[in-house]
Amino acid sequence: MKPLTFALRAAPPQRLDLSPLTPANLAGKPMSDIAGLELQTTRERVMAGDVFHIRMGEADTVVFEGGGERFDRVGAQLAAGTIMVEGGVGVEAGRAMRGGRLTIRGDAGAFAGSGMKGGVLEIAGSAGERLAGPLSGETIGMAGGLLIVRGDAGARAADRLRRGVVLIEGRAGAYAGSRMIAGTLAIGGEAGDLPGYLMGRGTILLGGGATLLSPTFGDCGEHDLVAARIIAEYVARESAALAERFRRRLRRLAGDLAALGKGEILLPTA
Amino acid sequence: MASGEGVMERAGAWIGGTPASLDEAAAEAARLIMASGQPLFAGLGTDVDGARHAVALAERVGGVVEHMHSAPMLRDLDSLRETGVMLTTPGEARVRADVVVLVGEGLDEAWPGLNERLLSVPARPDGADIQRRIVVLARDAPSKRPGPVETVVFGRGAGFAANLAALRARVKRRPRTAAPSQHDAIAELLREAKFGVAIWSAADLDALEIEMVNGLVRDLNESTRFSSLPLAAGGNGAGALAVCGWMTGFPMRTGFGSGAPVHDPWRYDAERLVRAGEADCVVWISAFGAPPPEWARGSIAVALCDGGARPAETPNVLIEVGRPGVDHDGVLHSSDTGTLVAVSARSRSPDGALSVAEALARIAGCLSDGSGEAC
Amino acid sequence: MLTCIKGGRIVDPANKRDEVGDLWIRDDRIVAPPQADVRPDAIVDAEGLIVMAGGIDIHSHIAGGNVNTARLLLPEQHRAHARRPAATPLSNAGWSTFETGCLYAEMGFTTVVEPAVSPHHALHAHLELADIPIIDKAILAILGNDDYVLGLMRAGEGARAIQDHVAWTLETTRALGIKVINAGGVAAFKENMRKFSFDDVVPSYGVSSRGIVKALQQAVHELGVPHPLHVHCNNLGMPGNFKTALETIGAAEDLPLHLAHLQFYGYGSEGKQGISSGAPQLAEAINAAKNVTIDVGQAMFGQTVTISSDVLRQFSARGFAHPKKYVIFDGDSNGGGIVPFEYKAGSFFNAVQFAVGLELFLLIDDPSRVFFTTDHPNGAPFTVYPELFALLMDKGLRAQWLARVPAEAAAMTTLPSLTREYTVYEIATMTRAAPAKLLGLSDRGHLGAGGRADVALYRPGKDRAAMFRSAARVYKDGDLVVRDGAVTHYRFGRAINVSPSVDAAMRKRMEGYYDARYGLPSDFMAVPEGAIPRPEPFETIACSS
Repeated sequence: MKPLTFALRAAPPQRLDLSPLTPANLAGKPMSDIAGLELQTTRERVMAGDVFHIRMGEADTVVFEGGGERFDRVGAQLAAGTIMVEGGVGVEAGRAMRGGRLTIRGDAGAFAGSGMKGGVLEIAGSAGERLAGPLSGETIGMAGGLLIVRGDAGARAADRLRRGVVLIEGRAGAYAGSRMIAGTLAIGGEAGDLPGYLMGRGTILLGGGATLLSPTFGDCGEHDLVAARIIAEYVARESAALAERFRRRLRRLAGDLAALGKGEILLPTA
Repeated sequence: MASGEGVMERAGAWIGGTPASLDEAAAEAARLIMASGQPLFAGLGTDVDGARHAVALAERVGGVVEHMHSAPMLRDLDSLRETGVMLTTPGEARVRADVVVLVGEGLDEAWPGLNERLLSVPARPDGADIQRRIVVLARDAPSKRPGPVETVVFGRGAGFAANLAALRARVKRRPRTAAPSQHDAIAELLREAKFGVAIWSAADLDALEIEMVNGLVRDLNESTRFSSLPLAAGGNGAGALAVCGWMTGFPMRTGFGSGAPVHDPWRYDAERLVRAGEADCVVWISAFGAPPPEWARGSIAVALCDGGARPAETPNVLIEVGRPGVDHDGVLHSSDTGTLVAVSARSRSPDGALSVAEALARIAGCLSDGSGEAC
Repeated sequence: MLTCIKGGRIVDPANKRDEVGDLWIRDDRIVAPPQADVRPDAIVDAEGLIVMAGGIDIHSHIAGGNVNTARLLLPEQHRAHARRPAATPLSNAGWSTFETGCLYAEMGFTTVVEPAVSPHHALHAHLELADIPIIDKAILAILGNDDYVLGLMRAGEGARAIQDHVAWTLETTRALGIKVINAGGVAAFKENMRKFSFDDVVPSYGVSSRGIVKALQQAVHELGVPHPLHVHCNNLGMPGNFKTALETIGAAEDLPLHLAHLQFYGYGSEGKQGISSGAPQLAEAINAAKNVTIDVGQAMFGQTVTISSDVLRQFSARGFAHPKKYVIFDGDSNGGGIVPFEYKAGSFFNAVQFAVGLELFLLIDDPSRVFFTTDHPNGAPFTVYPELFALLMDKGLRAQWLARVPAEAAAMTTLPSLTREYTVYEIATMTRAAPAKLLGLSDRGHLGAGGRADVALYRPGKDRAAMFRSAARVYKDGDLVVRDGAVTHYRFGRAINVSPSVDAAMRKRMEGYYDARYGLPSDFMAVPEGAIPRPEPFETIACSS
């Protein structure tokens, strides 16, 4: 089955809003309609046909050949089907997606997976700040689904995470898992300062520790946690390295005691 | 607003560094704005009417509105619009607070009247003296503030945030918090306050530190009364924020490229827009003497500046404007009252000075887009 | 310019008219039909249309610091989508002042009162009002939780001093009237009282809510301010609070008093859920007390945000915030609380609230003493007005709505048994003739000669909500601003105010007070005409004394 392909002609003259280019929105549209979809973010109009050489195919799979830092909102509201970007993307990749699979071969900008509710978002490179987090004014971040970052993530990854799983195989910036409401965040490399700051509930696995832990996480000792094993089974399908961390004996810290305090940070022991 | 012949004579205007008439400068500014793909109205250091005209013009031409102090203002605002906050006024802090907590640094820059207003305490409503205790949560050095002030050093960098968290956990009487014992004494003082007020400048705190202090204040209200006073940013930031709010529904960092207001704090950050080459016509507005920041060097197309705020590099168009409240009347946010206040010119020149609002109205008058006007 | 609006059904309760006829407008005024040989410059065919004066909303939170904070609190709830129309910039910006003016005008409303402005924020409120296009507007200034009034009462200074201070406040803030909000309760909350009733006493001042309300009521009356004291009672939203409203009505004695958003005080505490309707008792009391007027503050189902200067009440409601965020502002006098809220048809409590509002509309006999409000946006945004008009006019429609709510909740009210249906004439009384009288606006709310040419034309149809949502034509000051439910261009109205004479000694006293207590000149709260960026921004109406 041939995918519907958008091959980048040249670097776009402005940031693009690529949210119209999802399987659901493209299905059944003729080439001319697709080429006419508006993607601009400034007052100057840019249509899909201006930026991309379009090769028609089954809209269930959408492929972007080429990418870039100005590719914003790729796969926003994705409900089903597959989107693949053979390059990097800008901000808000997979914003509020509900299903399907979005794969970014390169790096993603800020707010990747912001407010996603379902589906799988995989970023082969690194992600910017506020991975999976809410936009300004929203009270809930990611609320379901699976988000995998093979590289590093910026500050405040999984901010206000409410449900679902966020896996970061590399390092995370400051305040990872800030304000978490629930859900699971696992970080393979070292986390920056103060992971879990203001978290209420949920689980943060710090596979490589953190540069500074908040004094408001109380040490509950070392455990063989059944729950962590169950998470390991789930995680193993997507990340063997992180699954291995969950299977170790874990030190459990309860917090953030400055906030609701019903969350936990898990530190694998050597 | 008024724009008579007098305006032409009293205004200094330059095109490419060469003196020009105001009409010529306005026409050239309008031409640059209309030729732009994404004009950026930045700085926004102006009075309420100047901000109104900037928002109206940005909306009309599909540009972006931004303020030189958006970053700290949005840190405070994010906490407000994502959690719950308790706020009070400089007046209530003065006449009622029995405990004042000064969080971090930069407070006197943000509120020059702080010492005078909070250290000389009027009587309580019932005539009794207020026994005010002032606690400073400092980054490093003990406070040099006059009067009986208790300083606790919370450290620089992430240590400050960690200590704020520890203090809040102590106020909650949470066990197992690895907090220094001095936190207990402050926690007790806060819990026993009758009406406490926490004061900070967002310029010195990060977003989560602000959220932690707001949470601390919320917690205290479970049993007593406590409120907070985040100090306003300079450049009439709070005034510009109010104007953006009522005219567009959103704060600054709002763009109109799509024909409707879109608020996006990341995308419409002026510094990012300029560094990324996404704003091709920067209109820099600064009427309170603040020079353009480093990132704006060489990228300003149109500058509306007072005498002290001129860019070092020559912009395509420069129009000299007066300072609100000094050279012409205006409405400004006051850090002493926490409200918008009408301020009269202190040293009105014989012809009066050109205001930002008048200059922008001139520019708008040169647009021929067949569009209606909001102001 | 002489215009004849020809052959419409003229519904003008102020002049006791409901008949097919012609309406003549010369420039910005309504004029008597001229001699038969005079030809109009324009003839508007109004056959089949209903012709009314422009609507007047006496209580709608449309501007000021708290409203603006609410806008900034909820960016996710008013994202704009439509491109802006060329002639009406920012009219597509959700919840902007510009959108507000357009939406009101399109419903045929031409005058709206922002009922809660803290005196220190008067300039801010007027600046926002100046950016609301089309409509005229006014503010009510809040007193009764401020240190100065409470201090005068504690010092036993007597009625004259309070009257002088009320006059000074009206002049300084350019207000049309005075409102008191949870009298004393907001001041008491600053001293950590968490509940405050009509005979509770404010700590440090030793004055009761009853005392404050009566003192201000008297002062407003003596000054001859047309609009009586506008009262937001204590215990808003609490089961059993209909008794608080009854106490307040009783305390009014024979002087005029206006009770705001009475629906929020219409609750008994009967039944398993501890919430029932107290509307029948309230309606009975209002029907008997001819000196009292009320507005309803109808609740409608959906997401909204509550904006109130009743800081104590809003603090108590913070746990019900939806979404979970709020602002509680301890201001210099009243401050405010902004708590987003969703009224749900499936909620027992919300269903009773919905029914209580309609019961008040239907059980209070005189449509000239019950005013049409949702306490925008507290019970619902003003954009639901068309649906609410339809509910009042159609008992069948009410039955459909009632079918959506829990049957046990409906059973705690009398609404299912009420068969009254409002007529167009009664709607016009409630939204035109009566509010003009209540506010003292003699040239508004009617279609008699000399009246301001604020006129709305509606196209009647089966769908009454559609009729009221999109006026066929609206004239503001004789200028045709709405065609087929859409604003065609902007004009800017004025802020209406009263200006009773102010005692020079009171000015002096206020200067001394602000200097001593706040270290500020008393004119920091002034609203100079030059600060408002519109030509002739104010219209002053007369007091009766």
